[in-house]
This record gives sequence, C-alpha cells and structure tokens, in this order.
Amino acid sequence: MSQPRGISRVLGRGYVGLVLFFLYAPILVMALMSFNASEFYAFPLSFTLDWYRRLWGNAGIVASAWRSLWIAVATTAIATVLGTAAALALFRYEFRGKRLLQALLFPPIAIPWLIIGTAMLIFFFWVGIGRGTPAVILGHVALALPYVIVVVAARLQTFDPQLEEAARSLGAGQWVVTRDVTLPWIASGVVAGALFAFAVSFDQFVVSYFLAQPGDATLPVVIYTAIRKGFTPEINAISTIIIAVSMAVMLAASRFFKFGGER
Amino acid sequence: MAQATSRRDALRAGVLLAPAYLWLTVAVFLPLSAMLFFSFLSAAPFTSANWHVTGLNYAEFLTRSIYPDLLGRSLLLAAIVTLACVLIGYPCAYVLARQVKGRAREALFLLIILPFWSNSLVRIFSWAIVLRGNGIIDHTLGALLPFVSVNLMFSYTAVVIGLVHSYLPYVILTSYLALQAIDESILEAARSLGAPFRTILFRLLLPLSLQGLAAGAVLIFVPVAGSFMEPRILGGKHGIFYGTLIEDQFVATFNWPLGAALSFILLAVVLVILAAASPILKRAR
Amino acid sequence: MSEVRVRNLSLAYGATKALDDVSLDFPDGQLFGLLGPSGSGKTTLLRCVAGFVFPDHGSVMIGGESVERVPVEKREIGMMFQSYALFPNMSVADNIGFGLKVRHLDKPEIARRVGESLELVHLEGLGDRRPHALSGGQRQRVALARAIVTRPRVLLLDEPLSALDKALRSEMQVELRRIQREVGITTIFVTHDQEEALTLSDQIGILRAGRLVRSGVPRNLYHVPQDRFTASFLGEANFFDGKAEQGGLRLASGTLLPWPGQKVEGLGTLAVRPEEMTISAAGPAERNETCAIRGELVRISFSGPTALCLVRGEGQQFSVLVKNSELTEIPVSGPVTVSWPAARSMQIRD
Repeated sequence: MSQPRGISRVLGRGYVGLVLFFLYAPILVMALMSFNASEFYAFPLSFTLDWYRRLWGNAGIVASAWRSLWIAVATTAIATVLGTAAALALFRYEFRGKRLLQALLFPPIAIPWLIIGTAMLIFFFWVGIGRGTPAVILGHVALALPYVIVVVAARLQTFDPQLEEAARSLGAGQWVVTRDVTLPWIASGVVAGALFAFAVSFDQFVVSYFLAQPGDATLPVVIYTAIRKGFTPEINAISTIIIAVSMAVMLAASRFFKFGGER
Repeated sequence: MAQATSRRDALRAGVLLAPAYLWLTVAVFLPLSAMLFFSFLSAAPFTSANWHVTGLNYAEFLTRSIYPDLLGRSLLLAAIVTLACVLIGYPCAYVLARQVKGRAREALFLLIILPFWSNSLVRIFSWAIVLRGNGIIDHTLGALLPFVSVNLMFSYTAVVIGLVHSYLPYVILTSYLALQAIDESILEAARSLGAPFRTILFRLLLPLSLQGLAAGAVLIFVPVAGSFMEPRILGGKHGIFYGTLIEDQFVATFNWPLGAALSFILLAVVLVILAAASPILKRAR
Repeated sequence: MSEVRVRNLSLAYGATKALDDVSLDFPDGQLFGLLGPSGSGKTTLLRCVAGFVFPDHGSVMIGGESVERVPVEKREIGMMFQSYALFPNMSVADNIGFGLKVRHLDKPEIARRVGESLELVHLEGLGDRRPHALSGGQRQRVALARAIVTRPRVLLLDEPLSALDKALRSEMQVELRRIQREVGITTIFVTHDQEEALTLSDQIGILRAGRLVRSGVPRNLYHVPQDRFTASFLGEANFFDGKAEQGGLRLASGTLLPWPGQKVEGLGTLAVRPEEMTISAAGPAERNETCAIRGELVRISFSGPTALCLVRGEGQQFSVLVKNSELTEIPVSGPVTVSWPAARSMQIRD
C-alpha cells in the first residue's frame, strides 16, 4: 500500500528490525567473544586481542587461510573468464540446443552441495585426480560458473545488440567489438560475477570438505575440524575475520549488481 | 539460414562456450553419472580388485529401516525449516516491497541478503556460541528469571534455529522480487472496490507472488534435506540425519558405493520435489 | 561512392521467405527509399546490403564488386540505426572517430576528420559530451556523422527518423537531404512512412512479402501506380471495378465512367486519389472528360486544413478529400455527386 496508516508502518518496520536482529545478533555475539579474555566465554567481558595474536601464531590456520585465499582468487579468475565468454555466446548467437545449455546451468545451483561434493570425490578418485588443491579448484570453478554466467547474462539483457552491429558496420572485428563496446557496458556485471565467484569459493565448505586433502585443507574445513574438537575463542577470531571479509566482498558486489532487480 | 555467417557464428559460439561447458561436464555432469554407476557396485574399484555390479546398495536402503527413517527425519526437518522461513520471511518481504521506499528499502534489503552470501559454517558456529549452556541466552534469561537455566545447544531446536538463520534470506529475496513486481494500481483497484486487507492478501498478493514464494521454498527445502554440517555442529546426539549418514559413508566408514546409492536416492527425492514444484515455478512466466 | 546492385536475392528464415528473388539497382549518389509494411523484407534487404545477413541465393554488388559473402566489417559501408546505437561509454568525438580508430589512422588525422564531421552536422563544440547528454535530434546527427566519417561506399539508414517527434522529423528530413547531397553518397534508407519516402527519395522501391512490387521515381509511382498495392500504400486511393467498354468503364450499377485514351478489354479497375475528386450537391454535369458518381455523404472528418468525406455509392464506400474552404458548399449529409477529371483516373493492372 502506498500510504499505510501510521501504526502498520511502525509495526512493519519493527518487524523488519526483529528479523535483522535475528540475522545479526549471533554474528555480533561471536565477534564480541573473540575479544573476550575468558577462554570459557565468561562474563563480564574483558577486552583482549590475545586470540588474534594466537591466531597469527597458529601456522596451520594461517597456511589454510592463505590457501583459501589463493584458491578463491584462482577460482574467480577462471570462472569469470569462462563464464563471461559463455554468457556472451549465449547472448549473441542463436543455435539449436541453446535452451538446453541454459537449463544445464540449473543443476549445479539447485542440487545440494553434499550430493555434488560426494559425486566429485568419487569421480576425481576414479580418474586419478584424487583429493587436493587441483580437485578443490576444479570443483569451486564448476560451482561458481553458473553464478557468473547468470549475473553477466542479466547485465547483457540491458545491452542493445545494435551497438555491436554499429561497431561492426564501422569496420570493427569481433575482438575490437567485444573489447571497446560490449565489455565496457557489461563491466559492472562481470565485476559482480567475479565477486560472487570469490564468495562461492572463499565461503565454500561442503565441496572443499570432501575434496581437500587432510592436512592441506581450506580454512572452512580446518575450522569445522577444530569446532568438532571443541570451541576456542581462537575460532571466534578467525570466524570474525572470515565474516568481515565475505561481507565486505558482497557489499562491494552490491555496488555493481542490483539484487533487488530494480533500476 | 543456410549461410556462411551461421557456420562462422557456430564456430565462434563453440569457441566461447566450450571451455565453460567442458568444465561443467568434467566437474559436475560426469561426476553425477559416475556416482550413479558407482551406486551399483559392490566395492570401490580403486580399493578392491574384487568388485561387481549389484543392486545390493539400494536393497540395503530398503531393508534396513534406519535409512528410510533418517530420510524421513531429514525431509521432516526440511519441511519444518521451510515453513518457519516462509512464515517469518514473507511478511518481512512484504514490508520491504510495499511499505518501505527509496534508499531505506535498498539499505534494508542489502542488510537482509548480506548474510546469505557469507560463510554458512561460521554463522552456524556463531549460534553455537549463543545457544550453549552458560552462553548469552542462558545469562540473559538467568538475569530475568533466576534459577532458570536453558541449554538449547545440541538439540533439535538448535538445529532448526541454525538452519532457519542460514536459509531465511532466500525466501525473503525471492518473495521480495515477486512482491515488488506487482503493479500498485492492481492493489489500488482492489481497495477502490472496498476489499479489506485480508481479501487483498489472500486473493491478490499471495497468488501473484506465489511463484517467488515457491522458488524460495524450494531453494530452502532442497539443501536442508541434504544438510549435514549444521546438525553436526548444533545437534550433537540429536543431530543424526540423512545428510550426516551420507557424510559418514565417505569420511568415516568409507563405504563409498553405499554412500553413492544414498546420495542418489536423495537426488531422486530432490528431482521429484523440483518436478512437483515446477508447475508453480513456471506459471506466469 | 558507388552504385549498388542486387540480383535475384532470396533469403528464407525457416519457412518464411524474407526475400524472394529481389533484383534492384541503387544508382550512384542517389537517395533510395525502401518502403513497405512490417514484414515486407525491406529491413532484411538493407541488412543483406550491409552484410549482417548473407543471402541464400543471389548477388550483392557494391561498385561492381561482388560482396555477398563479405562480412559487414569488411564491406566499407556506413550504417545508421533506428536506435542510433551510439556507444554510451564513449564521448561524441570518440563515437565519431571509432571507425577511423579501427582503421588505424593516426590521432591528428582522426581529430581533424572528426572536427570536419561535427561541422558538417552542425554540432561544433559538442565533441566532449556523452551521448546521454544530447537531445534526440543531436544524437541523430552524431549517428549520421559517425556513419559517414569513414567515407563509406554506401550509406544505409534503418528507419532513421522514426524515433523523432513530428516537428523534429521534418527538420531532420531537410538536414538529411542536405548532408546526403553535400557528401554525394549512395544512400539506401528503410522506412514504413510513405510520406517520408516520397519527400526524401530520388527513387523508391516498394516491397511486400519479400518481393519487390515496384520501383521508380516518387512522382511517377504516385501518379501511375499500376497495381492496387502501390496505389493504396503510397497515398490513398479509391478503386472502381467494372467492365471495359468503348470509351470507358461500365460499373455494375450501369454508370459509365469515361476513360479516354485507355485500351482496356474485359474486366478493368481504375483508381482515383481522394484529393482529385470534388463533391457537390448538384446533379452530375454530363461531360465527356468528367467522371461522376452519385452517392450518399456518410460522414465528414475534419482535420484542420482539409476534411475527409466518406461517401457511399456504387455499392461501396470511398473517400473524398476537400479543402476546408470548400466545406461550406457541401451539405452535411444526404445525396451528393462526386466527380473528377477523367484524365485523373489511374489504370490498375492486377
């Protein structure tokens, strides 16, 4: 309703506030506890940076953090290039089987990661790739690709194909058309797609869990293993860092991609 | 068009498409096919030279009642979580789409979907910190009502809370998109005809946004039915579900063919759900 | 600058024939209008000449050179698009200079020629603007400058003025004509607006369902349309079917329309433009050079300087265009006589 009466307006906003409280309160509590000196999360809070210092000294976690980071960067680079190329082709050309190719993007998004992860484990073992970082990257790129393609394709929806025709009529070949006309227009979509790809990889737990080599795992897998042994404020510290990084990445993505589907 | 352009175009399209789809084939479609084949083996070929094709893994699912029971338990969990998400999320999406305008709406919406893309493991862990005995809820309640102690940790409730927290943004996102696409003048027309809000909600808003609501529900139900990390962390001994059963086959008991069969049964259930929902999802396209 | 010839062009999209054996010459330096309803194949023909689509059969020659298998970027053509298709990420100057940059001209030369073009289209000083900061008419001028700055062999315009409002459109028609004359480039343009085609073109080709119906000079096509489609698509026409007799056409009611100098046998059709007809309350003046029909005035639709009268007679309805000043001499309704000089009857051959 365009002009809700005052009371329903207040109720509505209050309700959204409650939902936000539900979504953010536990994260804030967790972050707070990472600055609490008590190992047993005891009250009252006494501030310390000890856990972050200890974290820095934990070689296993630091190594896995760097590994997660560079796997995410590699995944982002590969998925963005391949996904953008595929989105361009799906936009430019009409051919038989196009709808099938578009439909094939759906399973990697819709099938639970548990199923995809275990299937990858079986297949990669079978063909000799086995577990380890190459398998993890192989898996992460596959999970990120559909997101990149969908996001770039959404941006291409707003692109006037006559612009490409105009450039060609002026003598520009395929590569010049893409570089000077198409890419500048879809750049924001490509950046958003890249950030999505980074988030899919950097936050990926399930598929990494099955594909990572024990002792050579990504950060979320290391955290999971640690949690199952018992909670320590060190885990709060690294979790706080992770959530800060991924939220920053998505905030950046939101500048390039309208989640609300407006504008 | 039997023309040279289309042949050249086909080549160019192929060059652009091949890398992405080859990658998806190697990393998704071949593995899924391999898993199907694997689920009919007596043992993993790379652990035992002595393997043959068999339907025993599926027979085991049917004969040992613990497996179907766990599947049912997971589907029930998924239903509960989905229902909770819909009941909490839809009103929130409604307020965002139809009561809030402009920059406030953009900012609120962003805040709601931000967690959606952040690490789910970490968010589940944060609930462990909140819910544990002697945790913040316990403390707060204790301050209000002395001698009362709650420890929700390692319970079914904890698993539900964690999963709702994880998946709530999905249903808000999809419902919001559907709700904000509804033409304001339709609602104004209904009001001009004297329709009370209840009528507008059930005769207009819900039917017109059903597609988005259903999409959100499917996006929640399917992964929750296959969840294993959340029950492990928050459920403790109440956290045994179909997902953890599959996880065990791969990381604890190393019975991969059985794990493959169990995964495949879950996939079949997922596909049935997607097929059942597809009339609603496709409607109004 | 070159002549363009297409011979026996055919192109099918599945079962629909977008072009069906079209042959046409576009003379050097002339402005040639392709006119037809939507789906007539006029745009497909233009895109065939441009090189966006290749024909299934037939040839396209630009300046005597066969180009039907040459892709658009190698054809040395200039094209202006319906939406103008200005690159939103480039300034006006970069838009115009794009084709020159692609051809690897050096920077001073590009700047010089871009400057010249801006002058030609009267947009001096706007080179640094972005397309979105321009008005519709200005965008159109930029698009035109961009299309001709590379000195293409032929200029192709796809519905060039359809995005403009009426006042701006007539101004741009004059401008387009001036620039085309100044540059002297062979130009083909597509339009569905017959008035625009008549105003702008040296020659017109009329297409229908993928086939070329007629081509020729606008005046000639208008006054001697020869077929029903051309007669009714270029302007309006009233048709009278009858039997040919000595000295005229006998309509079904028995009325004889004198038609001197025509040799028609059997069944025949003649067409008359509404503006050639006059309407009066009096009975018919029986003269050899005048055709006259009695009828009933049904309705008058007033449209400023003129009014269109709808008359029922001879078992059909037809329209008569009268000047506003003549309206007073006509009854509001009732029996009237419609007449026209017999020489204004146009013969229809299909």
